[in-house]
Amino acid sequence: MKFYLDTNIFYYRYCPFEDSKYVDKIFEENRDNFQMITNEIMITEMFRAFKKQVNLEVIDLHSANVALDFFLADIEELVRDRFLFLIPISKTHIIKSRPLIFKQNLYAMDALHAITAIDTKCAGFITMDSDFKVSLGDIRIIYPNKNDFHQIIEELK
Amino acid sequence: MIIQMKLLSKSSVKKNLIDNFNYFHICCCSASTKLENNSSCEEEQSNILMMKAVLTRKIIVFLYYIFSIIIMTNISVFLDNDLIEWLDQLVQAGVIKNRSEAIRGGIHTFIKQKLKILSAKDLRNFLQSQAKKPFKNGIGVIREIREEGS
Repeated sequence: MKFYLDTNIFYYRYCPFEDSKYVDKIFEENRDNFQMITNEIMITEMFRAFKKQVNLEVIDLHSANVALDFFLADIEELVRDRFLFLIPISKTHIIKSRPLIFKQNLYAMDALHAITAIDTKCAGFITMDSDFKVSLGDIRIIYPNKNDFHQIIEELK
Repeated sequence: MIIQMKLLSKSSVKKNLIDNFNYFHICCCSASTKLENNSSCEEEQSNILMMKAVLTRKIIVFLYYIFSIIIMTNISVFLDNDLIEWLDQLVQAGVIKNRSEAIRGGIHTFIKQKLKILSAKDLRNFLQSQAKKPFKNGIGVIREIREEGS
């Protein structure tokens, strides 16, 4: 069973929030039954997210770099354990994103994430962003902080 | 430089291998000649035994060199370019001394140990302790990043 992880899932995994506990549960799922997919662009978005925290003086530069080094090591371990699959951006993805951008008025990054989920035939698109209302064909958009999260996961199994 | 060293050591192994093989051949010829000439003499028998011991030792050395060549040609570490780039960043930041230090220690676990952060929860606790104000809403930050480029 394949699920797509939006970048905000990783942001909640590595930054201190009340809702981080919902994201932890995703990574504690049985790794034999689940494969998590994301696009490599997620890593760049995370770099920018931490830089924003530095710009906003939430954390200093050193703390941001420590966090990103841990983040990279952890991502590589998840990839090594074959729980997470990092999909590179290809020109095919870029060309396929055109109808999504035009028909659903998506931002470029949203479209790239969406097309990667469609292309890898994910059963669900997991995001914390309840405003992310996009038609992804058969792919269900799932929110880990909603009560029906585990019920939907069970239905999709 | 590494390649040069590898080539040098390979050629020296090859030279040793040839020397040992030549010596092995000479010893064999000498032993068989002596056996033919005077096998009844005790002293000669003792010499033959000595010769056998030397030959056995030489065969072991010979096999060792063959084994070394096989091992030397097959053991190598392949690193992706992205991993090399990241390791170089870690060296620059002073997290690790050099690339090989991380490779010897099992890269990802080693780096987590160096950072003294072993889990995502540890990282959240670390960031919480370092934060001068609350982290900006997670959904909002990623949404802003996506809107930056559009």
